Amino acid sequence: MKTDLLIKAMAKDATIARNLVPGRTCAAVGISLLVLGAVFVLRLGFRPDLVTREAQLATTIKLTFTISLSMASLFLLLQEAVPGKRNSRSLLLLLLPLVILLLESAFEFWSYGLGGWQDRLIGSNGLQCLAFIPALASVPLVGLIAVLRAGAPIRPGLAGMLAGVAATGIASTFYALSCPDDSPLFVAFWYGIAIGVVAIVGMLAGRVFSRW
Amino acid sequence: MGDVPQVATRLDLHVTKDDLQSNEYPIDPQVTRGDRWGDLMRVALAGDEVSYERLLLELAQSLRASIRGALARSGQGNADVEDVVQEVLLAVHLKRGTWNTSLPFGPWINAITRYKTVDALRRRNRSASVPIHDLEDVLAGPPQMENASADVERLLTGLSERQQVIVRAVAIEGRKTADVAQSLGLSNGNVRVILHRALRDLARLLRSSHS
Repeated sequence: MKTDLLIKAMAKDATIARNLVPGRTCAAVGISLLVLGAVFVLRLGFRPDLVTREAQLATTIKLTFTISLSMASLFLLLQEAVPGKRNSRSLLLLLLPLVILLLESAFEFWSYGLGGWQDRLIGSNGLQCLAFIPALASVPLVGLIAVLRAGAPIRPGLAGMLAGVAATGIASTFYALSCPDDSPLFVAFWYGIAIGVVAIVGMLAGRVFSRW
Repeated sequence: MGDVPQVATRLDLHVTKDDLQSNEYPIDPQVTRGDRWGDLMRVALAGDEVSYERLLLELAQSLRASIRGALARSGQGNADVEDVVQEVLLAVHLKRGTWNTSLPFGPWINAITRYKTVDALRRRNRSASVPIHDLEDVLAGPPQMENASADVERLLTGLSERQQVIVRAVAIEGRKTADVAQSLGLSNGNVRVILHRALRDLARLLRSSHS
Protein backbone atom coordinates (compact mmCIF):
# COMPACT_ATOMS: atom_id res chain seq x y z
CA MET A 1 0.00 0.00 0.00
CA LYS A 2 1.30 3.40 -0.84
CA THR A 3 1.42 6.14 1.75
CA ASP A 4 -1.47 8.01 0.14
CA LEU A 5 -3.71 5.00 0.57
CA LEU A 6 -2.67 4.56 4.17
CA ILE A 7 -3.54 8.23 4.70
CA LYS A 8 -6.99 7.60 3.23
CA ALA A 9 -7.52 4.78 5.70
CA MET A 10 -6.38 6.97 8.60
CA ALA A 11 -8.65 9.83 7.47
CA LYS A 12 -11.63 7.46 7.63
CA ASP A 13 -10.62 6.79 11.24
CA ALA A 14 -10.72 10.50 12.10
CA THR A 15 -13.24 10.23 14.90
CA ILE A 16 -11.68 7.71 17.26
CA ALA A 17 -9.15 9.69 19.28
CA ARG A 18 -9.22 9.52 23.00
CA ASN A 19 -6.75 10.66 25.58
CA LEU A 20 -6.62 7.78 28.04
CA VAL A 21 -3.95 9.38 30.24
CA PRO A 22 -6.22 11.16 32.78
CA GLY A 23 -8.55 8.20 33.17
CA ARG A 24 -5.77 5.68 33.58
CA THR A 25 -4.01 7.94 36.09
CA CYS A 26 -7.11 8.08 38.25
CA ALA A 27 -7.55 4.32 37.96
CA ALA A 28 -3.88 3.62 38.73
CA VAL A 29 -3.79 5.88 41.79
CA GLY A 30 -7.23 4.80 43.00
CA ILE A 31 -6.58 1.07 42.71
CA SER A 32 -3.14 1.46 44.29
CA LEU A 33 -4.60 3.28 47.28
CA LEU A 34 -7.19 0.53 47.73
CA VAL A 35 -4.68 -2.33 47.41
CA LEU A 36 -2.05 -0.68 49.60
CA GLY A 37 -4.74 0.30 52.09
CA ALA A 38 -5.82 -3.33 52.30
CA VAL A 39 -2.24 -4.56 52.70
CA PHE A 40 -1.71 -1.91 55.35
CA VAL A 41 -4.73 -2.97 57.36
CA LEU A 42 -4.09 -6.71 57.01
CA ARG A 43 -0.35 -6.80 57.31
CA LEU A 44 1.21 -3.60 58.62
CA GLY A 45 -1.22 -1.69 60.82
CA PHE A 46 -0.66 1.65 62.54
CA ARG A 47 2.32 1.86 64.82
CA PRO A 48 1.08 1.02 68.34
CA ASP A 49 2.25 4.28 69.92
CA LEU A 50 0.38 6.50 67.47
CA VAL A 51 -1.83 7.66 70.33
CA THR A 52 1.02 9.73 71.78
CA ARG A 53 1.63 13.33 70.75
CA GLU A 54 5.32 12.67 69.99
CA ALA A 55 4.57 9.80 67.63
CA GLN A 56 1.86 11.80 65.89
CA LEU A 57 4.21 14.72 65.34
CA ALA A 58 7.05 12.49 64.13
CA THR A 59 4.74 10.66 61.75
CA THR A 60 3.37 13.90 60.36
CA ILE A 61 6.91 15.07 59.68
CA LYS A 62 7.65 11.86 57.77
CA LEU A 63 4.42 12.20 55.84
CA THR A 64 5.23 15.73 54.65
CA PHE A 65 8.25 14.21 52.91
CA THR A 66 6.52 11.17 51.40
CA ILE A 67 3.41 13.06 50.32
CA SER A 68 5.32 15.97 48.78
CA LEU A 69 7.50 13.42 46.96
CA SER A 70 4.43 11.60 45.61
CA MET A 71 2.73 14.81 44.48
CA ALA A 72 5.79 16.31 42.82
CA SER A 73 6.75 13.17 40.94
CA LEU A 74 3.17 12.41 39.91
CA PHE A 75 2.82 15.93 38.52
CA LEU A 76 6.08 15.59 36.58
CA LEU A 77 5.10 12.13 35.37
CA LEU A 78 1.91 13.52 33.85
CA GLN A 79 3.94 16.21 32.18
CA GLU A 80 6.36 13.67 30.72
CA ALA A 81 3.60 11.31 29.62
CA VAL A 82 2.53 13.61 26.82
CA PRO A 83 4.79 15.47 24.40
CA GLY A 84 4.77 19.20 23.83
CA LYS A 85 5.03 20.30 27.44
CA ARG A 86 8.65 19.31 27.71
CA ASN A 87 10.31 21.53 30.27
CA SER A 88 13.39 20.19 31.99
CA ARG A 89 13.43 23.03 34.50
CA SER A 90 10.22 21.76 36.11
CA LEU A 91 12.22 18.69 37.21
CA LEU A 92 13.56 21.03 39.90
CA LEU A 93 10.23 20.42 41.59
CA LEU A 94 11.78 17.19 42.87
CA LEU A 95 14.03 19.34 45.02
CA LEU A 96 11.03 20.30 47.14
CA PRO A 97 10.75 16.99 49.06
CA LEU A 98 14.53 16.92 49.27
CA VAL A 99 14.63 20.37 50.86
CA ILE A 100 11.89 19.34 53.27
CA LEU A 101 13.94 16.32 54.33
CA LEU A 102 17.08 18.44 54.72
CA LEU A 103 15.25 20.95 56.89
CA GLU A 104 13.90 18.12 59.02
CA SER A 105 17.39 16.66 59.41
CA ALA A 106 18.79 20.06 60.32
CA PHE A 107 16.04 20.47 62.90
CA GLU A 108 16.90 17.09 64.37
CA PHE A 109 20.60 17.95 64.66
CA TRP A 110 19.62 21.22 66.27
CA SER A 111 17.42 19.56 68.89
CA TYR A 112 19.40 16.34 69.59
CA GLY A 113 22.94 17.35 68.70
CA LEU A 114 25.38 15.37 66.60
CA GLY A 115 25.92 12.57 69.11
CA GLY A 116 24.61 9.15 68.14
CA TRP A 117 23.54 10.19 64.64
CA GLN A 118 24.76 6.87 63.27
CA ASP A 119 22.34 4.97 65.50
CA ARG A 120 19.44 7.18 64.48
CA LEU A 121 20.34 6.73 60.83
CA ILE A 122 20.52 2.94 61.05
CA GLY A 123 17.44 2.76 63.27
CA SER A 124 15.88 -0.57 64.11
CA ASN A 125 13.71 -1.47 61.12
CA GLY A 126 15.95 -0.64 58.21
CA LEU A 127 15.82 -3.97 56.47
CA GLN A 128 12.09 -4.31 56.96
CA CYS A 129 11.67 -0.88 55.42
CA LEU A 130 13.85 -1.91 52.52
CA ALA A 131 11.73 -4.99 51.91
CA PHE A 132 8.29 -3.44 52.37
CA ILE A 133 8.58 -0.18 50.49
CA PRO A 134 9.65 -1.64 47.12
CA ALA A 135 7.14 -4.48 47.47
CA LEU A 136 4.32 -2.02 48.11
CA ALA A 137 5.60 0.27 45.36
CA SER A 138 5.30 -2.45 42.75
CA VAL A 139 1.51 -1.99 42.69
CA PRO A 140 1.41 1.72 41.77
CA LEU A 141 4.44 1.24 39.51
CA VAL A 142 2.57 -1.19 37.28
CA GLY A 143 -0.37 1.21 37.10
CA LEU A 144 1.77 4.23 36.31
CA ILE A 145 3.65 2.38 33.55
CA ALA A 146 0.20 1.63 32.08
CA VAL A 147 -0.46 5.39 32.20
CA LEU A 148 2.71 5.97 30.19
CA ARG A 149 1.63 3.42 27.60
CA ALA A 150 -1.55 5.42 27.06
CA GLY A 151 0.51 8.55 26.57
CA ALA A 152 3.40 9.22 24.24
CA PRO A 153 6.49 9.81 26.37
CA ILE A 154 9.40 11.02 24.30
CA ARG A 155 11.81 10.31 27.14
CA PRO A 156 10.54 6.86 28.19
CA GLY A 157 13.41 6.23 30.59
CA LEU A 158 12.90 9.49 32.47
CA ALA A 159 9.13 9.01 32.49
CA GLY A 160 9.57 5.49 33.86
CA MET A 161 11.94 6.76 36.53
CA LEU A 162 9.37 9.33 37.63
CA ALA A 163 6.80 6.54 37.77
CA GLY A 164 9.17 4.65 40.07
CA VAL A 165 9.67 7.65 42.34
CA ALA A 166 5.94 8.39 42.48
CA ALA A 167 5.18 4.73 43.23
CA THR A 168 7.72 4.72 46.05
CA GLY A 169 6.28 7.96 47.38
CA ILE A 170 2.82 6.41 47.62
CA ALA A 171 4.16 3.17 49.11
CA SER A 172 6.30 4.92 51.71
CA THR A 173 3.37 7.08 52.78
CA PHE A 174 1.61 3.91 53.94
CA TYR A 175 4.78 2.42 55.35
CA ALA A 176 5.57 5.58 57.33
CA LEU A 177 2.31 5.17 59.25
CA SER A 178 3.47 1.84 60.62
CA CYS A 179 7.21 2.29 61.01
CA PRO A 180 8.36 3.46 64.47
CA ASP A 181 11.69 4.83 63.21
CA ASP A 182 11.20 8.56 63.12
CA SER A 183 14.57 10.13 62.46
CA PRO A 184 14.76 12.07 59.17
CA LEU A 185 18.23 10.51 58.89
CA PHE A 186 16.61 7.07 58.88
CA VAL A 187 14.13 8.25 56.26
CA ALA A 188 16.87 9.78 54.13
CA PHE A 189 18.97 6.63 54.26
CA TRP A 190 16.57 3.69 54.06
CA TYR A 191 13.71 5.30 52.18
CA GLY A 192 16.37 6.85 49.96
CA ILE A 193 17.76 3.44 49.03
CA ALA A 194 14.24 2.13 48.36
CA ILE A 195 13.44 5.14 46.18
CA GLY A 196 16.65 4.67 44.23
CA VAL A 197 16.04 0.98 43.62
CA VAL A 198 12.44 1.45 42.47
CA ALA A 199 13.42 4.46 40.37
CA ILE A 200 15.95 2.32 38.49
CA VAL A 201 13.40 -0.46 38.02
CA GLY A 202 10.94 2.17 36.79
CA MET A 203 13.46 3.59 34.35
CA LEU A 204 14.11 0.16 32.85
CA ALA A 205 10.39 -0.63 32.77
CA GLY A 206 9.73 2.69 31.06
CA ARG A 207 12.33 1.99 28.42
CA VAL A 208 10.96 -1.45 27.71
CA PHE A 209 7.21 -1.09 28.18
CA SER A 210 6.36 2.50 27.40
CA ARG A 211 8.04 2.73 24.01
CA TRP A 212 5.59 3.36 21.24
CA MET B 1 23.90 7.91 21.47
CA GLY B 2 26.78 8.88 19.25
CA ASP B 3 25.91 6.50 16.43
CA VAL B 4 22.58 8.10 15.77
CA PRO B 5 22.51 10.46 12.82
CA GLN B 6 21.47 13.98 13.62
CA VAL B 7 18.02 14.07 12.15
CA ALA B 8 16.55 17.29 10.96
CA THR B 9 12.90 16.58 11.54
CA ARG B 10 11.86 20.06 12.44
CA LEU B 11 8.75 20.46 10.43
CA ASP B 12 8.21 23.66 8.61
CA LEU B 13 5.40 25.41 10.36
CA HIS B 14 6.06 28.62 8.52
CA VAL B 15 2.97 30.11 6.95
CA THR B 16 3.33 31.92 3.66
CA LYS B 17 1.37 34.94 2.53
CA ASP B 18 -0.57 32.75 0.13
CA ASP B 19 -1.71 30.58 3.00
CA LEU B 20 -3.09 33.55 4.83
CA GLN B 21 -4.89 34.83 1.79
CA SER B 22 -6.49 31.58 0.81
CA ASN B 23 -9.81 31.01 2.47
CA GLU B 24 -9.77 27.26 2.49
CA TYR B 25 -9.18 27.12 6.21
CA PRO B 26 -11.07 28.29 9.28
CA ILE B 27 -11.72 31.89 8.59
CA ASP B 28 -10.30 33.73 11.57
CA PRO B 29 -6.85 34.88 10.40
CA GLN B 30 -5.73 35.37 13.99
CA VAL B 31 -6.23 31.67 14.61
CA THR B 32 -4.95 30.54 11.24
CA ARG B 33 -1.70 32.40 11.46
CA GLY B 34 1.04 30.08 12.58
CA ASP B 35 -1.23 27.28 13.67
CA ARG B 36 -2.66 26.13 10.39
CA TRP B 37 -1.95 22.46 11.05
CA GLY B 38 -3.36 22.88 14.52
CA ASP B 39 -6.60 24.16 13.04
CA LEU B 40 -6.71 21.25 10.63
CA MET B 41 -6.16 18.85 13.50
CA ARG B 42 -8.86 20.52 15.57
CA VAL B 43 -11.49 20.04 12.90
CA ALA B 44 -10.10 16.57 12.19
CA LEU B 45 -10.60 15.57 15.81
CA ALA B 46 -14.17 16.80 15.46
CA GLY B 47 -14.58 14.27 12.65
CA ASP B 48 -13.69 16.23 9.51
CA GLU B 49 -12.15 13.51 7.32
CA VAL B 50 -11.28 15.81 4.42
CA SER B 51 -9.27 18.23 6.55
CA TYR B 52 -7.60 15.32 8.27
CA GLU B 53 -6.54 13.74 5.00
CA ARG B 54 -5.16 17.08 3.89
CA LEU B 55 -3.20 17.49 7.12
CA LEU B 56 -1.71 14.00 6.84
CA LEU B 57 -0.74 14.59 3.21
CA GLU B 58 1.02 17.83 4.11
CA LEU B 59 2.75 16.18 7.06
CA ALA B 60 3.85 13.30 4.82
CA GLN B 61 5.38 15.69 2.33
CA SER B 62 7.23 17.58 5.03
CA LEU B 63 8.46 14.35 6.62
CA ARG B 64 9.55 12.78 3.35
CA ALA B 65 12.12 15.48 2.69
CA SER B 66 13.75 15.35 6.11
CA ILE B 67 13.70 11.55 6.32
CA ARG B 68 15.27 11.20 2.88
CA GLY B 69 18.07 13.49 4.01
CA ALA B 70 18.56 11.64 7.28
CA LEU B 71 18.70 8.23 5.59
CA ALA B 72 21.19 9.50 3.03
CA ARG B 73 23.42 10.91 5.76
CA SER B 74 23.46 7.61 7.60
CA GLY B 75 24.44 5.82 4.40
CA GLN B 76 21.17 4.00 3.83
CA GLY B 77 19.43 4.16 0.49
CA ASN B 78 16.08 5.68 -0.23
CA ALA B 79 14.30 2.35 -0.11
CA ASP B 80 12.99 2.85 3.41
CA VAL B 81 11.79 6.43 3.11
CA GLU B 82 8.11 5.58 2.73
CA ASP B 83 8.29 2.95 5.47
CA VAL B 84 9.58 5.54 7.91
CA VAL B 85 7.07 8.16 6.75
CA GLN B 86 4.26 5.66 7.32
CA GLU B 87 5.55 4.72 10.75
CA VAL B 88 5.66 8.37 11.80
CA LEU B 89 2.24 9.15 10.36
CA LEU B 90 0.70 6.16 12.11
CA ALA B 91 2.21 7.35 15.39
CA VAL B 92 0.74 10.82 14.87
CA HIS B 93 -2.58 9.18 14.08
CA LEU B 94 -2.66 6.82 17.04
CA LYS B 95 -1.37 9.36 19.57
CA ARG B 96 -3.30 12.42 18.42
CA GLY B 97 -5.62 12.11 21.40
CA THR B 98 -2.73 13.19 23.62
CA TRP B 99 -2.64 16.63 21.99
CA ASN B 100 -4.37 19.16 24.21
CA THR B 101 -6.30 21.21 21.65
CA SER B 102 -5.99 24.36 23.72
CA LEU B 103 -2.20 24.27 23.36
CA PRO B 104 -0.26 25.14 20.18
CA PHE B 105 0.13 22.22 17.77
CA GLY B 106 3.75 22.96 16.82
CA PRO B 107 5.55 21.64 19.92
CA TRP B 108 3.40 18.50 19.98
CA ILE B 109 3.79 17.54 16.33
CA ASN B 110 7.50 18.34 16.35
CA ALA B 111 8.08 16.22 19.45
CA ILE B 112 6.08 13.27 18.11
CA THR B 113 7.59 13.25 14.64
CA ARG B 114 11.11 13.79 15.88
CA TYR B 115 10.89 10.99 18.43
CA LYS B 116 9.35 8.54 15.96
CA THR B 117 11.75 9.38 13.15
CA VAL B 118 14.81 8.98 15.33
CA ASP B 119 13.36 5.76 16.73
CA ALA B 120 12.67 4.30 13.28
CA LEU B 121 16.07 5.28 11.89
CA ARG B 122 17.87 4.00 14.96
CA ARG B 123 16.21 0.61 14.57
CA ARG B 124 17.22 0.48 10.94
CA ASN B 125 20.79 1.41 11.76
CA ARG B 126 20.93 -1.33 14.34
CA SER B 127 19.49 -3.99 12.07
CA ALA B 128 21.90 -2.98 9.30
CA SER B 129 24.69 -4.98 10.88
CA VAL B 130 26.66 -5.64 7.69
CA PRO B 131 30.04 -3.90 7.85
CA ILE B 132 30.01 -0.79 5.76
CA HIS B 133 32.94 -1.80 3.51
CA ASP B 134 30.94 -4.77 2.29
CA LEU B 135 28.37 -2.36 1.01
CA GLU B 136 30.65 -0.21 -1.05
CA ASP B 137 29.42 -1.65 -4.32
CA VAL B 138 25.84 -1.04 -3.40
CA LEU B 139 26.51 2.48 -2.26
CA ALA B 140 28.43 3.32 -5.41
CA GLY B 141 25.67 1.96 -7.61
CA PRO B 142 22.69 3.84 -8.94
CA PRO B 143 20.27 5.18 -6.33
CA GLN B 144 17.71 2.64 -5.28
CA MET B 145 14.16 3.09 -6.43
CA GLU B 146 11.99 4.61 -3.78
CA ASN B 147 9.09 2.49 -2.63
CA ALA B 148 10.89 -0.66 -3.68
CA SER B 149 10.19 -2.21 -0.29
CA ALA B 150 7.61 0.23 0.96
CA ASP B 151 4.61 -1.94 0.44
CA VAL B 152 2.36 -2.10 3.41
CA GLU B 153 0.54 -4.55 1.15
CA ARG B 154 2.95 -7.15 2.47
CA LEU B 155 2.12 -6.10 6.02
CA LEU B 156 -1.61 -6.12 5.35
CA THR B 157 -1.43 -9.89 5.20
CA GLY B 158 -0.55 -9.80 8.89
CA LEU B 159 -4.00 -8.42 9.67
CA SER B 160 -7.13 -10.46 10.18
CA GLU B 161 -9.22 -11.11 7.10
CA ARG B 162 -11.98 -8.73 8.15
CA GLN B 163 -9.46 -5.99 8.94
CA GLN B 164 -7.94 -6.44 5.49
CA VAL B 165 -11.30 -6.24 3.76
CA ILE B 166 -12.17 -3.02 5.57
CA VAL B 167 -8.78 -1.34 5.12
CA ARG B 168 -8.83 -2.16 1.40
CA ALA B 169 -12.39 -0.94 1.02
CA VAL B 170 -11.80 2.48 2.60
CA ALA B 171 -8.26 3.05 1.35
CA ILE B 172 -8.17 1.56 -2.13
CA GLU B 173 -11.81 1.74 -3.11
CA GLY B 174 -12.31 4.99 -1.17
CA ARG B 175 -15.62 3.86 0.25
CA LYS B 176 -17.26 5.38 3.30
CA THR B 177 -17.29 3.33 6.51
CA ALA B 178 -21.10 3.45 6.62
CA ASP B 179 -21.17 2.00 3.12
CA VAL B 180 -18.70 -0.75 3.98
CA ALA B 181 -20.68 -1.49 7.12
CA GLN B 182 -23.84 -2.02 5.13
CA SER B 183 -22.25 -4.41 2.65
CA LEU B 184 -20.66 -6.41 5.47
CA GLY B 185 -23.80 -6.43 7.56
CA LEU B 186 -22.10 -4.66 10.46
CA SER B 187 -22.83 -1.41 12.26
CA ASN B 188 -20.92 1.69 11.25
CA GLY B 189 -19.43 1.97 14.72
CA ASN B 190 -18.28 -1.61 14.50
CA VAL B 191 -16.47 -1.00 11.21
CA ARG B 192 -14.81 2.10 12.63
CA VAL B 193 -13.53 0.15 15.59
CA ILE B 194 -12.18 -2.61 13.34
CA LEU B 195 -10.50 0.01 11.15
CA HIS B 196 -8.99 1.70 14.18
CA ARG B 197 -7.60 -1.58 15.51
CA ALA B 198 -6.31 -2.46 12.05
CA LEU B 199 -4.29 0.77 11.96
CA ARG B 200 -2.96 0.08 15.44
CA ASP B 201 -1.91 -3.41 14.37
CA LEU B 202 -0.34 -2.05 11.18
CA ALA B 203 1.77 0.32 13.27
CA ARG B 204 2.92 -2.61 15.36
CA LEU B 205 3.70 -4.74 12.31
CA LEU B 206 5.59 -1.92 10.64
CA ARG B 207 7.60 -1.40 13.81
CA SER B 208 8.49 -5.03 14.30
CA SER B 209 9.40 -5.56 10.67
CA HIS B 210 12.56 -3.56 11.36
CA SER B 211 13.56 -4.56 14.85
